[in-house]
Amino acid sequence: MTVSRKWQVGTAAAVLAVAAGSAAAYYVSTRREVTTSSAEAYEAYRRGRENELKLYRREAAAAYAEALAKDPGFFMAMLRLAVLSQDRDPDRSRSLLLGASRFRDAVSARERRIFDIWAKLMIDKDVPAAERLTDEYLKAYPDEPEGYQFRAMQLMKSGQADKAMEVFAHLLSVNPNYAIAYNIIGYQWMGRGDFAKAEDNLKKYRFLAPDQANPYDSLGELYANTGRYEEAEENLRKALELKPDFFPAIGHLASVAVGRGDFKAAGALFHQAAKLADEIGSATHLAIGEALSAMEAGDRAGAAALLDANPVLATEPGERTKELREVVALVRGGIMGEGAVPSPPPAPKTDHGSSGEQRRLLAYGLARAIHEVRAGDLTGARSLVSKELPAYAARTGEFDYYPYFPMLWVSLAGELGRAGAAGEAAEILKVVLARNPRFQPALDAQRRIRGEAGAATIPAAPGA
Amino acid sequence: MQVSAPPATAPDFQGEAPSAGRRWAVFLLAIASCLIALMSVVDMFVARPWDGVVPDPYAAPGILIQDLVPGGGAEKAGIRPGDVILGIGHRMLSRPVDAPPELRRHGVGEPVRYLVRRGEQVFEVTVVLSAYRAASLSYFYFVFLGTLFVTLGWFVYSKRPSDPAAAVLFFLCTLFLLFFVCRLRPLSYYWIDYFVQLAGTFALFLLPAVFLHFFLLFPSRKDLRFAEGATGRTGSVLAALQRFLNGSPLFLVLLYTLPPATYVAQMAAYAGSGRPERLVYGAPLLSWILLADYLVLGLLALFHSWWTAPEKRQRQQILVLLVGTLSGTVPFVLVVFWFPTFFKSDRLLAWAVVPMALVPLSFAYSIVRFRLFDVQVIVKKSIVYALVTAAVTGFYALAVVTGSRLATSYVLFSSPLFAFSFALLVVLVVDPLRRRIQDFVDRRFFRDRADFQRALVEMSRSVVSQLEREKLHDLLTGQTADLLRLEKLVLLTPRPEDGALAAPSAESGGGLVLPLGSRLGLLLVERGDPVRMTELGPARLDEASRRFREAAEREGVRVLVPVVTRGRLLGLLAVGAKRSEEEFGPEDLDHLTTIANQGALGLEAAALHEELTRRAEVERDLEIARDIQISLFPRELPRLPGIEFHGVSRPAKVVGGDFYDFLPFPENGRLGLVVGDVSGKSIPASLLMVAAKEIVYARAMTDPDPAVVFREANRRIYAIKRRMFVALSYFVVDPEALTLHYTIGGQPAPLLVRGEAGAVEIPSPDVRLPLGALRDTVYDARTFYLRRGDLLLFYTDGLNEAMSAEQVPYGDERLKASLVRHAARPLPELADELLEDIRQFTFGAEQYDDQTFVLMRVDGGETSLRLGRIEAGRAAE
Repeated sequence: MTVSRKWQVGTAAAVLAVAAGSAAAYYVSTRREVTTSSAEAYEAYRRGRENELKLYRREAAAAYAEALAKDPGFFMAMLRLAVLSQDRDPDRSRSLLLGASRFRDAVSARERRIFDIWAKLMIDKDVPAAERLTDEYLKAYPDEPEGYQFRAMQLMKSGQADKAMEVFAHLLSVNPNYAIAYNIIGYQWMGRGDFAKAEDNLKKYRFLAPDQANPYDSLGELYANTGRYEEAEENLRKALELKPDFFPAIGHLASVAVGRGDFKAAGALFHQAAKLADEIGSATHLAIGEALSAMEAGDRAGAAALLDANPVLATEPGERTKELREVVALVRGGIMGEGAVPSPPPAPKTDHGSSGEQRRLLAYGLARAIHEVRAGDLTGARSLVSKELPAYAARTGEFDYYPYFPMLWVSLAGELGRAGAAGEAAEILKVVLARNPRFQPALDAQRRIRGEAGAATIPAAPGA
Repeated sequence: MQVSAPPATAPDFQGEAPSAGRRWAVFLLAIASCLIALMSVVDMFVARPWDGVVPDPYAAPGILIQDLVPGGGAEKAGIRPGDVILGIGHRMLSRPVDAPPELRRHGVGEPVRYLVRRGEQVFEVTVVLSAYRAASLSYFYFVFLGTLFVTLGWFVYSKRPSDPAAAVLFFLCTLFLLFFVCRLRPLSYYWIDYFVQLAGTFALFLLPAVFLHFFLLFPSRKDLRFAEGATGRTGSVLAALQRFLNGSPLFLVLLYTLPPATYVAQMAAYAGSGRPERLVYGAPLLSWILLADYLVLGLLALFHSWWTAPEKRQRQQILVLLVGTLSGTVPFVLVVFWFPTFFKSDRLLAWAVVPMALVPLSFAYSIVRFRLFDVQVIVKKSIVYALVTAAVTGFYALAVVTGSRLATSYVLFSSPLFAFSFALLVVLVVDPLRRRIQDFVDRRFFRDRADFQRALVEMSRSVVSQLEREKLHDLLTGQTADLLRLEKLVLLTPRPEDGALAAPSAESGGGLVLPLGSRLGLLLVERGDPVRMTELGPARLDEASRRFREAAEREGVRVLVPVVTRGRLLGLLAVGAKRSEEEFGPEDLDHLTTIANQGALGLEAAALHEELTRRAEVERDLEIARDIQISLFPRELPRLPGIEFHGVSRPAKVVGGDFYDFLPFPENGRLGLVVGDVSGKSIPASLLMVAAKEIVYARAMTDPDPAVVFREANRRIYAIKRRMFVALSYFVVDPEALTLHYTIGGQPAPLLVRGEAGAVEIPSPDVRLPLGALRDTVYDARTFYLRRGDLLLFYTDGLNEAMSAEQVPYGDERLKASLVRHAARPLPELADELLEDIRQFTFGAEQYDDQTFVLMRVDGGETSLRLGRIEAGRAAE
């Protein structure tokens, strides 16, 4: 049998095409997005990344450390670990970052770009430069969800929440299964008081990551702060089923307990959560929650002792701990009435106008107003009610483990009620109950104010 | 506007052979389309885990539920139509095509979490997946229909690859396949959906353009004539437009690009204006209107072809197509285009496609019935019989079952007599019914074939009965070529000069000459069957045959059919290509063999006829010659006192070479007797006989001396130079002197019976050479004295040399004995007896020579007048 030349050429072309396709497929299947010489290190890194996206920070850090142990020159493992450690151990973080810089030229362009962004933020503290580099990164890698997330977080930090939401929307059009984005968006809507949209997104988050504790915790937090205690408990318990040491879920169970008015239980839960917390900020807030719960339960001395033992006080002062110490001081002076309410320290320029700054100023204002009302001066309190209460009502979605602001507003309402300003008190409680109609401290305060409206005096608040 | 439409059978279809590129393109198109269709079909029939959701293919983001299959997992889970599925199995979905990979990750019976939005509420449900095959009964029909179309298209294209209309028809059928199989399918919820739906949409967009293109080519290329007569600027514009529509490739480009361009422009306009898109089946309304217009224009073009077809048969053929295409496409256009557009309903879609089957069926019918595209389809009768019988048997079974049901349902029918009667009735009805159906099928579908066979039989009959060579030649070439639809057919017959097989004229294969005894000729005789040119390997041929083969290839000969009878090559049919360009199949070769065999018989019959005609002419001439010859024998015997004569001549052939005659010499009362025998028989011999007689007579009139007469006659007969001799005896009888003066040339001497002495020969002259043997022969004469009572027998050698069946000559002695035995009898009786004796001796043998003799008896009294008798006929008489 003779085969024509046309067939020969065709067959050869087909064989070449198949071979080239196979080679390309093999290359694509074996290509890694990070530079490492060790398959085991890569596996540990991949696990670390998964845990990081699940917000299992401790596990993530452990996995990155394992990756580094397998491949000491693993650039991205070093970088990720540095980022994770920046709160808990800034020195180590810096040291890791510098260590990684030694390998900068040996890695891919993509890895270099990620490093440069973090270096600008963590070493140079040059936020605009970091933002510019992030934009360049996104141009180079338009399908990278992490880049969008990073950019959105930067925008949020700088108070450009709407722009951040646009970036997230784009991120989800690129990758609708990037679960953590729904969490962030959910919290954004929560912060804006649109709980329905927040719930939508958090449910999507939970749907995408049903094996993670954080989605249940996020939904639990939303429910806990909006009075849907049963749903909150269900989700939070599910989170703890998945990860029993997931302290935020315990913290939010404590929030539920506060909402129910069960301060004793709340104190125990705060205590448990604070012990498990793996970073100083959460640990401080949880400890404050425990102390305030004790105080609300009537154990003032115990509360003071707990505040004295607050972990932040046992830590070397740093940027982050300084802020936390201020919170402790404010709580002591304001809610617990242990002394004068301190003046708010000047905020960094970058924070001017930000929601964090607004919250801080409101907290100081409320603490001071409570003191003034107790002293018989209602002017500041009335001014606060008329000016700040509408603003607070508009952004009712900012939650803490211990509901400082609702509790501060309830305290102020109680003081105003006792001072005879029942109208302002009722107004405050209306705003607080609008967010969480089952917020027991507010309901109790309302009942007291209504029952005692005709009386000359109102019993002093527990902390008075 | 004028549109000229050449007849359907005009060679308009005949394009050039398709290039290799076009063949490959068509092949790849076919393969790709069939693969995509196959993928769709497999996808439809593969059981997969499914939730029972029927999504809206165009809604996004998420999966908007259009409908739910009752009892499906989604319905059981409480999902409702109108809900939007946001995610399946912990993956968010943007479009319906995102769902398949998710469902594939699960198995049948497995619970899967769904994230669903209902109004403002988002919730999760667990859906248990069930096994699902997307194909419905209507999809079966769509697949069948698509297969029908593509089979038709491929069949026509394979038969007429160089016909542009066939190529466009194939393209059209391929698009129909893609449309039916890939576009009208229920969504399978798998990635294949996206792919095949895209192919189906592509097909849908191209389909009307190809539809219009096809009917602009079929049954003949439309030649628009609307600019003729228009003058001035308008005229030039119209002429340019006419040129554009008739010949410009840009016209086709416009035809094909207008629908997608309209679609893109419309979608861009939507996008630019920000208005919500008004889409019907995923395309703007304007696109659908344009596509419907294309279909209508295509139908109008077909209608025009029907209207202008010049012949009844063509009109019938186009009418079938027109009715089929109209019946198929009009409901389709109405229901598929207009219903969703104006009534917002596509529920009737499946039903609208049902009549579409009429389109391929009408084409198939036209091919079988009218040889559409000049494609001949021979449907095996046995298959049709089997199908009809099966259908009727099915009817029978159904009728019996129905009867049984009736019998069990009603008391009235429960009698066994009813069941028996009913079964009997059905049996009685079945056979006539089958026969009627069969008759109808025969009339409708086998008429052409029956016509063909009848024409073949007619032609065979004509060939055999045609005895004129030229007409036979025409029959074997012209009529056969028409009957078998051949481009060319040449009959090579033996050339008279050298026996080589050659065409009769230069214009019809004049270069084809196959020399006598060539290797190819022997091969053809040996094989006796048609031989394809491709089977003729040059290695087996001699030089002459190779030259013939090359010439035949130049002449476009495809098959050689020997015209052979009894091992003789009477002719050779050189068969050109079929007009349909099909290869010669076994049936064609059988037909050619039949025609060649009939031709052989015809040629042989013609040759025989020619021979018989020639013989008849000869015989007629012989008859005339015989009449003339008989007229040359003496009608009356001469009167001589005392001498009696009786003469007999029995020629071997119709016309003999013997003769006898009397020459009266009134001046002296003598009588000349001439007995002659010319060499050879039949007409030449008789002519010589006449000539010899006349020569002798002429000489004898001037000089009665036999020797002188012979000398002169010899010289003149010799001059004839035909190597023919005349044996002649010349006797002069003197009744008074009773003498016989004579000369004998090449003849036996007369026998004499005198008294009881028996028969003896009278003395012979010295020179007895036949006349004409030598130029200057000097004959001598003798005189014999007669006596009263003498009996003399003057005879030619046909008597004594008559041969028996055993080739034994009769001989002088037998002759003498016979003469003596019957000598006493009267001369006529004696003559009869002599002949009888010879006849008895030669019984069963052919008479080789004329038998002529004259009896003379000298009795002294007055000779009785007797008429001589000439016996004619053959020895067998």
